[in-house]
Amino acid sequence: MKKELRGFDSDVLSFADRRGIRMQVTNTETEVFKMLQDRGNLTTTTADRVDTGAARRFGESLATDPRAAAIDQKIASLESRRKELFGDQQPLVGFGIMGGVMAGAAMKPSGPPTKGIDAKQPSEPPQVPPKMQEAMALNGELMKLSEEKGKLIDARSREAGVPVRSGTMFAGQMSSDMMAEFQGAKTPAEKQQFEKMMGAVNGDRLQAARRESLRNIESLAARMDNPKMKGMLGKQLDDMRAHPEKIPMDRVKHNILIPDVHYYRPGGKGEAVLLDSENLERANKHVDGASGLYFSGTKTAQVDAAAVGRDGHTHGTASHELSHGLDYEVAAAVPAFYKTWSADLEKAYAQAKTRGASITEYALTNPREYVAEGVEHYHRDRALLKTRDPALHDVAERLLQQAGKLGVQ
Amino acid sequence: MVTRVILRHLREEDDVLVLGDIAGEMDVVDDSIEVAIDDPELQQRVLEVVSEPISVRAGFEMDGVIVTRLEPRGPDHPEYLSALRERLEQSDLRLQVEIPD
Repeated sequence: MKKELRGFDSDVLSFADRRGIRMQVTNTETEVFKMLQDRGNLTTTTADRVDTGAARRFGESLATDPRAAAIDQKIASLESRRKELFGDQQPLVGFGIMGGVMAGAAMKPSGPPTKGIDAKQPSEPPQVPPKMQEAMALNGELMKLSEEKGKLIDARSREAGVPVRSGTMFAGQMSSDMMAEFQGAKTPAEKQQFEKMMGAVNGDRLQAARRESLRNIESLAARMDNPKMKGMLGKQLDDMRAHPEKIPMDRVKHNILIPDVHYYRPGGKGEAVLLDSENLERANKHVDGASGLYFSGTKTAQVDAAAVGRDGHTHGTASHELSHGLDYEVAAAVPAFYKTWSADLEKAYAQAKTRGASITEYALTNPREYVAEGVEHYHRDRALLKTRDPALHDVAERLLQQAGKLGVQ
Repeated sequence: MVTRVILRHLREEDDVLVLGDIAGEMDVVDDSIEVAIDDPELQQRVLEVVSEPISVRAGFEMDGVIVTRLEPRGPDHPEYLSALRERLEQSDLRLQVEIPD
């Protein structure tokens, strides 16, 4: 990082130092996450503190809901037809039929690509047998119905105050172990915790779904002729009996709900924080990809450790964050200069906005980013900055000259 | 619209890098890039660089804290090509990347 900042005039750096601007290398995603939490903009889920009474009443009301019952009836009828087409394999394959056909359709010719990162490969559309076509249509219908039921569950769960995940009710078999992984649980302790939440949200339905699923698989194993396959299935059954969380369940039929919890790791590693969907979206939008921070109160610029390359450069992130510091501190040190300069900056920014072009798209975000991008590019490629946005080149240069003057005083 | 980017070899002469022959070209069409280089090894290396995601700046301000974030963008983003040029030129491939205006 120091190497990159050597591009700045030493008097400018001296000014930054005198004004107390500090540069740090941190994990900025974790820092932003902490900041959002401290300011109450990110809260943890309540799915680990479910009112089991409310969850039970919610499950009962869903089981007696006429709309839910109508959807279930339609689903049962479609499942029955699917079973006619494919027999006993169906309860195990779930999405398998459609997945298989879709995989076939998307398959590309083998061999390494000779051109392009996104080269389009010619492929013949696969011949889909009529039976499979019907199965695909059935799956399409099932997905629509499952989505409808999912919406119904979302609305009712909100009314009941039971935190379950939205829009996740789809046809097909899934074990709670898989659900835990989908929600980001990695360690055995996290999976165990998730299993407890599954129990709290679903109550007796969870056991009922597992019992039925086990019965179906046992029945299938009993009718198998191939001893090798039978043996493999027998082993899987033993494993499922020992670890019920591995038993695939018919979620739609048994109203198996997923607790609204995501195991979120700021910066992608370390201990997980439990967030609900709304907070996860907020974290993804604000935290993920954070590469630099400037705290005007503490005059601290932070650069993400991952942004620092082997050569010590940060691809402009350090320069950009330092520029924010210079902007703030010149304003505090010489208000009279800053007033005039700031008016010119606003004017240049307004012109760039009207033009819809500057040195980068990000420069058009607001005047603070405009000048930070300007100062950064002044050090990266001054000629390019002057060509692309001469007014920004001038205001950046004047800010740096002023900081430099103050640096030698 | 197709943007054709020319890749030229840079070779070292008396400790100075001088412009050499055309190594190949890249055609950028909407959100995809096709790389055509005769040397299969160089083609592979360039593909590796091109396949790495490219991000551009975004950000927000909250209570006196300015947060700069990087968001991945595809070849259809106006800053993609200049970022790709920077990445290719900073690699050890010794290439100059010529992007038409």
